Amino acid sequence: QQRRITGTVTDSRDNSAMIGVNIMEKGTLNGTVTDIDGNFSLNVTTQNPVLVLSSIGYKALEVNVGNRSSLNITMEEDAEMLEEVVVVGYGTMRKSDLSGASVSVSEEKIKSSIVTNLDQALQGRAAGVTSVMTSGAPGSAVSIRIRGQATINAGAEPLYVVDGVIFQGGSTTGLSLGLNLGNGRGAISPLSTLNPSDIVSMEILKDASATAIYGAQGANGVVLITTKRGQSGKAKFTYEGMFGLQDQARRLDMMNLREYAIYNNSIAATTGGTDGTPEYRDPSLLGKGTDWQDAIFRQALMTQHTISAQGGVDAVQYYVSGSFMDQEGTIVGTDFNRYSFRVNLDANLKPWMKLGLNTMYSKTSERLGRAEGTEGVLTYSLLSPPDIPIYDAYGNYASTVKEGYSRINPIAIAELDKNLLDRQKLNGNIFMDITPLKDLTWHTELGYDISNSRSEQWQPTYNFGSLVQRPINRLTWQRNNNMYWQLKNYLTYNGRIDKHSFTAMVGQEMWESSWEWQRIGAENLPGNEIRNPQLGDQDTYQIADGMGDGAMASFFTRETYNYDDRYLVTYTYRYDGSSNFGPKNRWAGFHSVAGSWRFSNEAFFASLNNVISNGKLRLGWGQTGNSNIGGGLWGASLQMFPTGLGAGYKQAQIANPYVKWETQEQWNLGLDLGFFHDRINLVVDMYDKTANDMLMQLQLPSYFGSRGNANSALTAPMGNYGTINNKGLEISLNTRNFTGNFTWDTDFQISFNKNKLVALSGTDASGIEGYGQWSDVVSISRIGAPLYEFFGYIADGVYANKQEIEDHLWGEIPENGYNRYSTVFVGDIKYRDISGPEGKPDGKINTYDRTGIGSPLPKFTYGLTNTLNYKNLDFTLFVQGSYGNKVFNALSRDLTGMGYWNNQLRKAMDYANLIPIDPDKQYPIQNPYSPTEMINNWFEDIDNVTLSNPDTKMSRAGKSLPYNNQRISTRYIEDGSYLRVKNIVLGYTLPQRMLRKVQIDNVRVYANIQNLWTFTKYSGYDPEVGVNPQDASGYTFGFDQGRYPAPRIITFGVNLSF
Amino acid sequence: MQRINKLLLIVAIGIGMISCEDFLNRPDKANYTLSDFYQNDEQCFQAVNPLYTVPWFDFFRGWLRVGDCQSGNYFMDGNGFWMLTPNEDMEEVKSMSASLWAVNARANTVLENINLYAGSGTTEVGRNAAKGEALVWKAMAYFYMVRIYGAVPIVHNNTELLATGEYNGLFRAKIDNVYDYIVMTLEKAVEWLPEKSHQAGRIDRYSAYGLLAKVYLAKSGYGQNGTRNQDDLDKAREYARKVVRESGRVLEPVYADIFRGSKNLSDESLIAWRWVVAGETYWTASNDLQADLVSSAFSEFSGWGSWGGPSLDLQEAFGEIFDGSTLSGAISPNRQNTDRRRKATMMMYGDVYEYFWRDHPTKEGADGQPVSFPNGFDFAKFYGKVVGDFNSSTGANCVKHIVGNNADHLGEFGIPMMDRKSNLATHILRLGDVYLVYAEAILGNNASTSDPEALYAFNEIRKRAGVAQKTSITFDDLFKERRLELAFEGDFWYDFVRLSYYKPDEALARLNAQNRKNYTGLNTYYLDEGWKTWGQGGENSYPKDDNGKPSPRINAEQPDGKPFTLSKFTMPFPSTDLAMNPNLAKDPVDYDLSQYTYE
Amino acid sequence: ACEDDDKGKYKMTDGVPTIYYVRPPDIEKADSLLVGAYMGETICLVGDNLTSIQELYFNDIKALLNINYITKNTLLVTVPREVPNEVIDKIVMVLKSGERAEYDFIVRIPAPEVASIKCEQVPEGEDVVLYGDYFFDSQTVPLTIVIGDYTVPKSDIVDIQKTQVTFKSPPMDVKGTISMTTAYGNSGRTKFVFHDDRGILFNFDDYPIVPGWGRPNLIETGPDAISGNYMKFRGELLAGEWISPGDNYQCNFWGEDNGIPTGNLFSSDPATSILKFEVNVLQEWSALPMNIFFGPQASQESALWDDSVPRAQWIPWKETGGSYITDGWVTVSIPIADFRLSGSGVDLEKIPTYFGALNIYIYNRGRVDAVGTDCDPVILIDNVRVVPGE
Repeated sequence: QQRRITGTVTDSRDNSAMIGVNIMEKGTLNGTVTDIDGNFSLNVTTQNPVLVLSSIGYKALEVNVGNRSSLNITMEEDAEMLEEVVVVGYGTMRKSDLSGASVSVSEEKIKSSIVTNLDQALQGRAAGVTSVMTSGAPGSAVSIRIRGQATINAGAEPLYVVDGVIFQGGSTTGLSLGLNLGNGRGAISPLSTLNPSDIVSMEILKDASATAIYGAQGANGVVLITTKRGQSGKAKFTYEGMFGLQDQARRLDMMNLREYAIYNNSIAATTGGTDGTPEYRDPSLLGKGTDWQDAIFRQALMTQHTISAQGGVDAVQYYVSGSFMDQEGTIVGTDFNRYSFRVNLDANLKPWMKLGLNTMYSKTSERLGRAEGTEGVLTYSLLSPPDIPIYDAYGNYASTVKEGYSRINPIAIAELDKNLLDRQKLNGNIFMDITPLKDLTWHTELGYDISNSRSEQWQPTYNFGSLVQRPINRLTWQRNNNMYWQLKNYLTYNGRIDKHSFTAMVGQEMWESSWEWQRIGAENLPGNEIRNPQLGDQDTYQIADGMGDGAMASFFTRETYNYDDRYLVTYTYRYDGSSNFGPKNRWAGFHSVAGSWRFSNEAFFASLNNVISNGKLRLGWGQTGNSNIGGGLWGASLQMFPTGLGAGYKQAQIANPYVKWETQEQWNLGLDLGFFHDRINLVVDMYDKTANDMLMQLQLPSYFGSRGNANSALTAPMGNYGTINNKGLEISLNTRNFTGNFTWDTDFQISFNKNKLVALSGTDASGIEGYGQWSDVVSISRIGAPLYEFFGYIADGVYANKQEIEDHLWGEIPENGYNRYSTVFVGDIKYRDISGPEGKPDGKINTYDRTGIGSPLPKFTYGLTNTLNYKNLDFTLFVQGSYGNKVFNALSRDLTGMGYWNNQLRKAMDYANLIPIDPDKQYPIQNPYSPTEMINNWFEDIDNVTLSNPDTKMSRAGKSLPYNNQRISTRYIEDGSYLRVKNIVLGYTLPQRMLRKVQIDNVRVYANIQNLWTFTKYSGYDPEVGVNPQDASGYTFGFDQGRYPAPRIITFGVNLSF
Repeated sequence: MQRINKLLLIVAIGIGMISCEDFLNRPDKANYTLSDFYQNDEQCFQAVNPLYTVPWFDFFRGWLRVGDCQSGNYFMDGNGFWMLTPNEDMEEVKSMSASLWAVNARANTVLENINLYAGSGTTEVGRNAAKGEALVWKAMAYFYMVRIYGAVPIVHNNTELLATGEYNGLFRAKIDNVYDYIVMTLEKAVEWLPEKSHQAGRIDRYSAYGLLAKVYLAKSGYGQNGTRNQDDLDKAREYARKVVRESGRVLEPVYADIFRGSKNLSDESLIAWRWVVAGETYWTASNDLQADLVSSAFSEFSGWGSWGGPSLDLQEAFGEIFDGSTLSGAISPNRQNTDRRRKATMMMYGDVYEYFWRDHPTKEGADGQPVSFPNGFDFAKFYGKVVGDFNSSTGANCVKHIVGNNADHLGEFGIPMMDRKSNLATHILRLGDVYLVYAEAILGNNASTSDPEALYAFNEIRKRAGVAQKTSITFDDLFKERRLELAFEGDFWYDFVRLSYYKPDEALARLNAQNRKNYTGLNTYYLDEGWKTWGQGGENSYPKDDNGKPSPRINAEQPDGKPFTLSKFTMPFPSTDLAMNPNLAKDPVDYDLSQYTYE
Repeated sequence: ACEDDDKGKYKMTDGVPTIYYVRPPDIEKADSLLVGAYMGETICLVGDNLTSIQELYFNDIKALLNINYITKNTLLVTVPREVPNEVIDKIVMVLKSGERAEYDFIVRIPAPEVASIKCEQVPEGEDVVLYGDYFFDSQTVPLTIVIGDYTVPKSDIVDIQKTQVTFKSPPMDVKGTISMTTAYGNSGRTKFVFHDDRGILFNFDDYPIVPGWGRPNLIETGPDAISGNYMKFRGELLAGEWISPGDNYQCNFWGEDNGIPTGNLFSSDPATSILKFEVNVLQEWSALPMNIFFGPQASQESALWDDSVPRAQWIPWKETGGSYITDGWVTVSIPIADFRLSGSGVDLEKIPTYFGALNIYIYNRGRVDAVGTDCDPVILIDNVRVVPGE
């Protein structure tokens, strides 16, 4: 027989209602959970019903119901359980036992920002972690740096470890997957294959004592990702769904057709330049013309659905999930979707033997655009004059209608050409924990990561008039296969002798990774309908392939010692061997040691415990390494290269058999303080880390033959050629301002970092050049300066008259007189003369006048989260920002080129406008410098021109000007500081009364606005610019070349559980 | 518990058995490494083959711009080379420098690798021949460098240079040092190379002789004033004689054929870049110069070069001279010259080419009407009807380096072009050049010569061109003949450089005397077929433009960068190099060449 | 997707366009109204609802529209360069609905230009062909041709094409320059004179020909004649750089033997005069240049072998794809200013000093681009004359 009992569960500390307490009737499958007010009701069936209550962080409780029909139950916190346990490499630790620096990002934080990729969740969330979106394209990567840029050439992204398996495919570029997107290397995010809903937490290991256990792979920090696991109890289903709208909030101020006509006419009038376009002669007759920004940006949709189930009976627990997400890009011709599935199983086979299985499968498909770089759809469209139509009167793509104008309609290309990428990944592990003795555990694990991708690049034929056609189509397919496995064994012993407790861990690990790819291509397929390379012209068949493998073997140990929870010491050691190095330098060992003092547990401190509830001082030192350079670089291989005389074999690079580990040493000093029973928590860390023997290519002048395009150059040797230092300060402050029915939590974090290139092989003058799109040097990392510093001229306005030119350029006054086509002229940019061959100003503008003109690295970055709850309502406001970084606005450089043929920013209309000093002067006159020449117009007469707008920043306009007004200079350096309202979330949890009838436990609906507003002085689309994807060297940072701007996203979602 | 211990034991043994070193040794499975290669003669030659293309690729565009834009043969409106204002930050300046030095580095390493790794399957003859080819390429690169940059550092062995640690501190070597170094390199090549190579198209001993002759001729003026060094001239004469009289090679009978793909391996070619069509990965393997010279409508693949064109000065040298009033020069729809080289060098109104567009296509015209080409490519029809705009303001476009459309590539090579890439070899030293070097070396310091050998070489060239023979030759004759014979072959500029060595004023005066203007109004005139009524009503009936000036006319306003000054004969190093190694900006020093030998 | 699919597209409107007037695009000419324009000119239609126009024709020639040059009230368009097949003097607009609207507008077509004539000496009743451009006939204004003061009857005009007109020749005594009138204007007078009888040197009828030198065996008449006797070159011609085919291709006319005992053969200023003759090539001619010299009165041929003597070289087969044949008699004109080549075609940059004799000889003295291919031509020549400059 049944009877109904009701009750309330409260917390023993403050009598607040407890939500979500699991209540089971003992010996049955009968159960329920408490609602938002702590209430529950249950129909009991047994004779003497006993309720089993469980809630994480509280002591489990069994209650005899007896004959009561209503119960008030209080539960107590479990001090043991309450101790937050954090994941560390090869194990877990109590948070209070940590001596190193690490930071967690919890599930709640991940959820509060809408993310397609997990790495995006790290933005502004964790002190010491800077993350920059490299692109606003759907599914694109975030560039993460933990405690600054520690290395320049070897990969600098952190190591990602998912449930113990090293995640493969970091920092992949489109090119390596077979997509040649112009010069672009649009980075493809490795983490975009993971479903954020599956994640419980991410742990970021920052200092060497924390990362040293990863030895050679830990130099850039480690991100440990833990996925959800099942818990015993009734099966719990959840559904999470959301729907979002994305758009581009910002527009550049470009000229419309009328303005463009006025601009062209006025240039023609003051330069005698062109006959002008007849249609422009009366701008009032024209409309606005094509608005290219409107044409390329669109409102885009995104949706995501996840269903998961978890639960368990006795010995077996499971977590299963499946999800689908679809995101269109805000630039035409781009989108992304993902299917992913996960199964995590745990089984207790024997009391001393536990088996686990984690499996993840995902499939992503994306369409990438040529969005970035000077050939990207963005720059290309912006430069297109507003009189070029996109469509003709019938709505078909227009052929060009400007005489001699042969530019391809960028919208047509964006929509016709296809760059497709499909990826699949199977990742997981199987592990066993065996406990032969009490306190001794043997963990053995086999992990794997199998992935493949298929890319397709399709360029169909088109015909938009006799000058703009592609009569031959072209198709390329590339398949990549990667296989990775790792084997791990370690033994852990935990011991305790009254106040002394210690653990010892010793282990071994090895992994192997292999990859191969094949590319096939063909041209001249019979039509655009069927895309199959086999149909192409046989003589154009192309095959290319590659393969390679690498391996690593390691031994490691960790010892910790704890005295009375007051003094803690940790020591780790790891010995690594890598196939990336030659026999001479294959192995290396890495030590670290750290200690902490938990002074709040000292007796003398007891009186203060009401104020300072927790206090800990930490100090650590450690070494880590980096071997991230790819295989075979210590030797020299020969590459087959076809020539007109048959196959050729060319040496790839100069060998360096001595190339060895990059090693890093780091000091860390930390202080943890908790006030008023942890209502306020403060964590402060200071660090100093130095990377020695930096892995990079030797920087050499041209005459070594190692410059120029990658096929031609004899690549300079890879070796250990530099030293970098990073110092920094990190502060996290967490306060729980209100608790109870109305709660308000605030999280604030701020990170300061100073970066410096300490040494470099070669002469003092050497530096590491960073390029723009081609081989234009935009930055040089110089010894003693921060990395990536922009390098160029200082622009001081424009020359307003001849006298100004001669006072400034006193060393290079043109001997044969001035000529607006071949010498400097009024209206040219006045670059500052700061030095010369003698080391002092020489009155000439030359290469000696280039200098550091701003660093793209921020002085500090910060994030602030406020979370408020009132009854069923929750509200989160998250802002994040960066301060003190400069951005090179290369897009604006293209858009103020002052030529005739391209559209320009509206501010180009303020070009240096030449006017005659004496409008009545008669021409022609004899050229005073050249007896054979006459001067025919005032605007050719240097003695009779000045500017109507001498304060302008824009140079003179005209075609093919001799004096390079577009040099890399401060004209394009802008303040990239910003403050972004990253997320605003408003959620509502439906009252349970309404839900009972429909058998649903919990429903939350929410709305989220991402990137609502960005406060910045930056004039481009988006100040958040990371590594330059256009630069093959990867040595340019903060260079905005028409980057895909991050969209503003408004989403609505619902989470159900039943 | 027993079982557990057993399990532990097995695992421990398993781990121990893995030999870590073997596990970590990962040889390159996809590629040869240095020590596996050079096992037979064929492999030695294969190691040299890339020197025939890859490292030169980035020099290619600049080669034409320096050789023919700067020298006034090829008009490019406002281009830095045309205006003689190339600066250290220009893309081509950087890529030319990188490219030439890459040739040197690759030649050095091939030499070193053959010496280090050659296996027992090789023969001395084979090794020497391969090394000799590498040396000729090295000399070629240095020969370009000394004429483009003047003083340059000598990099004899890259790996040794690395080992010294001095790699960022080299000084430039004086120009005469560099010439001596080139001579020493070529003399060794002569010693090593066979008279005839085992494969057509490779460098042989006569290639080296030909280059030596040209080097000596250039060197003969250096450091001289007004005259040239007779010893050098004698050397040039002797080496050229070997090529002209002893090599057994004969001039390609039809001039235009030299530049057709089917004649890639002609006797005429002594040293050539041997491009090949290849896929995306190998983008530096193919000849892609056509795109720089034609309009995008010319072939199935893009092109952007139809706006530049053969200069008025070159047209005048060929006899296409506009006198300002009558139907002459480009203003005439008919061609006014007899030199066969003209049509093979530049296309103008009225020219029809049977070797371009041999598939006789019908094109869609600018006005939507079909345009047929029953006899092959027709310049006037193409620009007038298909493009609807005569792009080149000089009224001409380049013919050399052009393959044609896909059908032409198929016709010449049997395979299609791929995305602008072609198989067309680029001849950078050919017999015709050496013939003229021979004649010039004999002329030497004389005002004129009637030496029968000089006349023979000179008149053979003229015979092929279909122009009258001469009974006596002056320097002027030679200067002009070289220009006409070698136009657009990246060479003319160096005739000025050579001359500037011993007669700087004359070299400048010759440059300043050039007609570097273009036409204005030519496009409309051609489109309207203006010659039908040209000048029929006396001088007043010439068409006028909006300003009442005659149109077409020579555009006097066209900026041409004149007057040129002496500093224009060398080009700057890229600014990067100066920043990395400030010593490059200092005065060149004397290198002791006795420290260098070739093994 | 919730895309705005109309982005950048032409927002066509319904209804009918109204055109108020047409003006030039120039801002300073905003108030001048156009009723017509020349081909290739850009004009602006001003009106209302012009966005309803989908296609636009001038007469029956479609113009290229750029939607960015169309607003509700203005439409900029360039008059096509093609000549209409049917002139209705209207702009025809095709609307979104498929309907048509019209507006009166004249496409101005240039006046006729008579550039050249096939043959100046056409006997009465035979076809005269004029070449040039813009020869249009129309119902209202028929094309008329005037020779001197004689108007060619409409019925004599056989064929009219844009660049070529054929009519029946009037009697030989109708002489003079030609002008043509069409609906679009008058061509002005030609420089050449039809039935020109000025400056005749040799017509093979009027002067005695001295045996042995004038090559009387070459002089004959026959059904192919244009006026009495002609001179006939014939026989095998071999290609070559140095070839002299002999008497069948050589003629010398010396003034002193032919009634012009002293001085020049003609009285106009040589520097500006033109040598003309009619020629009728009956069989393919494909080798060697025709060399034409003037020389002093003396009866000698030495100039033929002196390559420094300036001459003209007529090589019509080069221009016509390698071989030359005519359709009846044609007039050849060579300015005496062009008599400046050497035997091998080098420009001597001077013209002859003496004009007392004339030599015509088909042979080659080293001109490499006039080698040609072997052939067996028949070339008739008549009415050799020098007329004052045009």
